[in-house]
Amino acid sequence: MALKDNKMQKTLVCFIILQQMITKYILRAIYPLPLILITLWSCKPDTNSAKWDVDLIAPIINSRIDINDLVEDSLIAVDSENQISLYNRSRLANFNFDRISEGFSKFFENTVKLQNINLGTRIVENRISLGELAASAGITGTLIILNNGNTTAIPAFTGIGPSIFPLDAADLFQTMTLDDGWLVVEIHNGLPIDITNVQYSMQNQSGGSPIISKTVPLISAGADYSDSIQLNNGVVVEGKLEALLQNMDTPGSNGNAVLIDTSDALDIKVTIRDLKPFSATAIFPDQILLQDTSDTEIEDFSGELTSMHVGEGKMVLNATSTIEDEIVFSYSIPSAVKNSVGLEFTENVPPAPIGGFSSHYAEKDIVGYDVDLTGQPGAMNVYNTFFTITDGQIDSSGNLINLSLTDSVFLKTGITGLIASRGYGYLGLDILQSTEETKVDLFDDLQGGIIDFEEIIISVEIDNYIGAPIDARINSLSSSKGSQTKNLLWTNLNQDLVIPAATENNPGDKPSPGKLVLNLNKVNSNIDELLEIQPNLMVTNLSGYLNQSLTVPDYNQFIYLDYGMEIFISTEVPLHMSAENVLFKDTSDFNYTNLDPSNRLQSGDLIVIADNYFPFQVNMDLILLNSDSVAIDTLVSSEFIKPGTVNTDGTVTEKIKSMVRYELTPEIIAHLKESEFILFEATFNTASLPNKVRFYTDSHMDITLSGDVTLRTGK
Amino acid sequence: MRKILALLLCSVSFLSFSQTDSSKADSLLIRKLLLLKDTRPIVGLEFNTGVANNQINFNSIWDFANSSFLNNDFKESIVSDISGSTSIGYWQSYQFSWDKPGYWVLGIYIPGKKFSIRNDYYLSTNSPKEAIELALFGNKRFAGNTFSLADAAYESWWYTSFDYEYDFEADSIHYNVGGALVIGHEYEKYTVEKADFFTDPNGEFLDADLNYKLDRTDDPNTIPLNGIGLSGNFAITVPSRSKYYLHFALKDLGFIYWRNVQTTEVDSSFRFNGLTFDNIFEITDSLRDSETDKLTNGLYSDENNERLRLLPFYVHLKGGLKIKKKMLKEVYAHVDYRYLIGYSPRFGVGTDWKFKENHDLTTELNYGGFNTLALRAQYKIRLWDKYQLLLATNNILAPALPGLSTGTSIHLGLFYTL
Repeated sequence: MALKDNKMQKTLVCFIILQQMITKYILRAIYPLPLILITLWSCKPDTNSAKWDVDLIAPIINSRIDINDLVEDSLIAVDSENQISLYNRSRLANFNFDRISEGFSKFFENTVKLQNINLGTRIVENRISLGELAASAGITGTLIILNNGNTTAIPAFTGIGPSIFPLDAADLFQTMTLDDGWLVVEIHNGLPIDITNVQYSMQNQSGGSPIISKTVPLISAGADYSDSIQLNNGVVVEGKLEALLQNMDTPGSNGNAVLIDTSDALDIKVTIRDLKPFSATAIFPDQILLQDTSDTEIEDFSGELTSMHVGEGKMVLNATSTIEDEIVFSYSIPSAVKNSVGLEFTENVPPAPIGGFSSHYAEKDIVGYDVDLTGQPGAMNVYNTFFTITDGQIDSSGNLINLSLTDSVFLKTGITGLIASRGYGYLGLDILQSTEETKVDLFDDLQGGIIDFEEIIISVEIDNYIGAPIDARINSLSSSKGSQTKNLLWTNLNQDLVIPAATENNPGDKPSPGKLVLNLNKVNSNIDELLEIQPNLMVTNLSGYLNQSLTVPDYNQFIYLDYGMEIFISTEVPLHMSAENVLFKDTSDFNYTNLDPSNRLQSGDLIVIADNYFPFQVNMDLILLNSDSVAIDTLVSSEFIKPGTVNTDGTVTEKIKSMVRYELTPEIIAHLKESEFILFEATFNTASLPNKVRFYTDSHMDITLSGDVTLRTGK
Repeated sequence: MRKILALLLCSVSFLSFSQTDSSKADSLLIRKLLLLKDTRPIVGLEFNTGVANNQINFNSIWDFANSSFLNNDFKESIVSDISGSTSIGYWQSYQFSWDKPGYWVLGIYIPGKKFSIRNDYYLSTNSPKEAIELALFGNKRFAGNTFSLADAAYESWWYTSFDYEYDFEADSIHYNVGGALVIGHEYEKYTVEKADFFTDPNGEFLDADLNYKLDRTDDPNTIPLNGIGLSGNFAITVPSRSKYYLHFALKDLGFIYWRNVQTTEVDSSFRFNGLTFDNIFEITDSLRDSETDKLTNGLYSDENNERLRLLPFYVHLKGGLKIKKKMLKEVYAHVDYRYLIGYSPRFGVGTDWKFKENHDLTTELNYGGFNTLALRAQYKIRLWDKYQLLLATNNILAPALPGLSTGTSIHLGLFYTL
């Protein structure tokens, strides 16, 4: 094994260490065992050898390529003789009529004022007893009081009064400024004597003009008296009133002895009713502010829908109030039902602060509701319309609050972003014009060359998922690759093709489509030419007419937002074909370091060994691309993979072994190290051209990639 | 009678006192003599490395070791030297020692003792010619033919031992016994019972019929500690102080209990067609790694085991004749053996020379070991009283006749008497 320079250096280091130790007499004092141990351990031998080149030849990878590696499994169909067909069903187009796909929003705005404030009826009662009256009637009055409980004649006396009696309604209201209303005074004479010349008035305790001032000539014993006065023109009524009995006379009992009971009294009842206040500070009863029922029509819809199922949408309420009491709003769409429950939501607007306002915003998701669109109950021939009910009221809080006719509530309610996921009813007339481009990836990896298929079977399938008949017309169908375009020639082009209506199985489930299937082949069209150019794009121009053929509206129709009309093209190509110079390209990432991290490869050959049971030959070049995908070198070989032996029927009967060498010169290896991608270019030619060959399920190629290379050993 | 008794008592007391004085004097004398004869401890550091084989000439080995690149001519010359199989050995040893030699005084041997720390590395292999060819040229030159690597073997040891030795004399026989604590660093052993290969000329496949065992410690640390063991030394010289003598030594007889040993046992035949991929168009790194692992796992196991392994002990038998001439001091014959792959018993004859007071020379003609014929030479020189330098090689013929001999070594030592 080699005595490497670094070992000699380590040896030298050992001696130097020793010399130093001895020189300094360290050993005599202490034995530096740790240092020595480290020295010993650091002297691990390095047995790496010199470099040299070795010539290796060995398989690197192997694989079997069969038809499943060349074509996606999903595209392969096999007939009873195991011959392979390519089968592909791809969607050419997907159309939707914009019947219900656009969002719908509708808002209602209301400003509610206190024009109809209900203050209710306010009643104040008081009574003036005989004793109280007698007390203010001098000697006569004294005699009456003294005879309480006796039966005696009561003499006439006059000038009773003046007396003031409070009428306190402050617990009902504090003050009110009235545009209108009535004050009713009722007096019941419970005394045993008539009273005459009764002069009374009523006014706010705080002063001011009397609200009422009257003189009543006579109120007989046991009789009732009533009078009223209209309160208008901004009269102010306070909760604390006082009644003034200015004067009252009595003729006495006219000499008749009567039982004197000083508790007998005049009962006075003051009623304030039919109030229309301009403003008031009061304990208000419940107030109905708003009751509104409105129709909402889904606009710009030419059909006549009887119902819909909401896919998206919200119900919103936005209120701003200056009322100092809580307001309750309810907003409902009675014809919208979900799980047998109508659509309604109720929101409370909080009391506004004094002199300020309060706001409240709320929304409710209405997804999943079924909405009847035939208007209010009893309506006839109404479609596309639902109705809403808005209620607003002040719930009495029992608190004394101030209300004014200038108070208001601004209310905005409505539906926003309503999209029906499906609709029912007559869908109306509609026309669709659309051009759809569909990418074709079946031939993505193939470029150039000539492909000739023995047979091509294509069917066009139009699926109608709308519950109404559609008259469809395929105006044109073309395939293209680059600048090359092939237009379809077909007898059914520009013909009206009636596609029956879809059938709804269960509401919400994908409907069963009405189908129209059209077959194209080499006899009735040039569809083979469209495919043989190996297209990467197909363009379909289609017209669709909804309900074109109906003479009277059919209200049993339906439409789903997610399902419209789809066109599929189904292609079946039996792999009985010829291919000439068809180029297959594929690019793979490449990292040389992963394969040869120590840069050992010096030169050699890559050898592709193939046992081919396919009926085609392959010439393959490997193009090395740098990071900018620019070709920097090419691995080429004059050899090619030969096709299997093919009989007259185009069937492979025997596999053929081929070997293709790609030389790896130092220059190519240098370029390999710079490469980040490798472009594989394989040119295919079927055997026995121009005859066609057949592909079967057992068609395959066993391939081994081996290396005949010179590698350099060492680090 | 009482007088007689009193006289006796006095006599005994006097005699006792006089005898005590005599013993003290003797003890002092012995101490002085011991001090005079006493040896001083010697510390030393030694380095020994070498390479040897039984077929390849030293010239090639030297070039192999010192060339940065081996061309085809050189490789061919190596291969042409080999017929059948070749043994190759490589060793390297560092030793620090503290030695207090025993000595004779008044016919009594005062035992000696020695403590040393050794770091040893051994690599040995027995390689068929085809293995050398395969390593130097690759498999392409065998394409289309079957070749065999049967009976190839390889082992390497790296360990450190802490040795203590004690030597003493009994019944005219000199003994040296010792023991050591051994710390194992690395161990590898590959034995190939059967390894037949056939490579398709186009590299389409490679057939292999294999039966081999691999043991290998796996520890990436710079100073791996993978094993621990014990060893013993024993040496005997009979008679010890005679003109003729026989010396037998057994060193490093012990074991290391290795941990973290990756073990592989393969006994199979297979055809390798390359890494197999179901879809050649979709070879990802993970698929490639998976297939590589499959192949590697078939040839190699990373199963960790423990192994108890006998150390590469050394046995030595020597018969000598001491000569009292001016310079030639001894002639001897010997045979030795190191328990390593490819090491065959080595026979030799040798002489010891002394030139002046401070120059010692030993020469040995040997046959066997890893080498075939070798001339060993060892030269010791004492410098400035306390220093001693050792220079030795196990084959001085190698540099002298590089085209013929087959390996050499260098052994350096520096000693200091405290």
